[in-house]
Amino acid sequence: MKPLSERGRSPMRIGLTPLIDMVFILLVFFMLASNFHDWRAIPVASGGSGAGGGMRGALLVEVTPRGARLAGEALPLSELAAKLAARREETAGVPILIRPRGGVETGALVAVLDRLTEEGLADLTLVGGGP
Amino acid sequence: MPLINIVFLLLIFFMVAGRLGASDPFEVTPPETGQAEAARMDGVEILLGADGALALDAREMERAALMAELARRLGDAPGTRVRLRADEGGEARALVALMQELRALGAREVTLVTRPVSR
Repeated sequence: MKPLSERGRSPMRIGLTPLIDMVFILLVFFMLASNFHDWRAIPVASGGSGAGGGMRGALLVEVTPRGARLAGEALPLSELAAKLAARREETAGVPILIRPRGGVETGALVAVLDRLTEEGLADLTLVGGGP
Repeated sequence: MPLINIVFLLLIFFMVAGRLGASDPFEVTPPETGQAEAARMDGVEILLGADGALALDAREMERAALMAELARRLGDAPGTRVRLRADEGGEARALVALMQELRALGAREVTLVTRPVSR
């Protein structure tokens, strides 16, 4: 029997190498499994297809592959935002319906939403239907 | 051993800063926006690929199966948030149609996931 003070220094000590191996394995696992995406979110409302009776007086913005149309008039995106912002007093509380036409990509639709939100326009609703 | 210290620090960094989650079944690049706020990561996530492929919480499934599963979850917890991550190259009308279907199922809070403008 060894004295107590020497028992801890027996040759059966836990080695450092397996510990380091484990830490390396954990490191590689977390490096591969974790993601660092910085996702953003925009809240969107969606109505039925086409404007119903409850949507009377609403402004309809159509997004076309070449730009946007407000009340049948083709406008580039910057002008559309300026026009809607200028009419904000008279159209306060009026919902703005946004309807993408066929052939419009999601990116273009979201660009319109983003531009109108930037102008401070709220109450944007996506609608389907139409040509 | 300074090397082990650094490895430990890296390990702790990746554990704390990263977010573990299942990887996407197909490639989805959400559109860019400058105005949106940081997304809340709770609730369910629906992926809409550029070719119209659908996935619910990183599991690719058919439209009918997805709607049935989502209806079941919304029945269990009516206030569940729905996060929609659609590819920027997809058809916008397919996105609007999907959102209308979600609304018809009773999803009250639907948000569209975007990525911040890379400058």
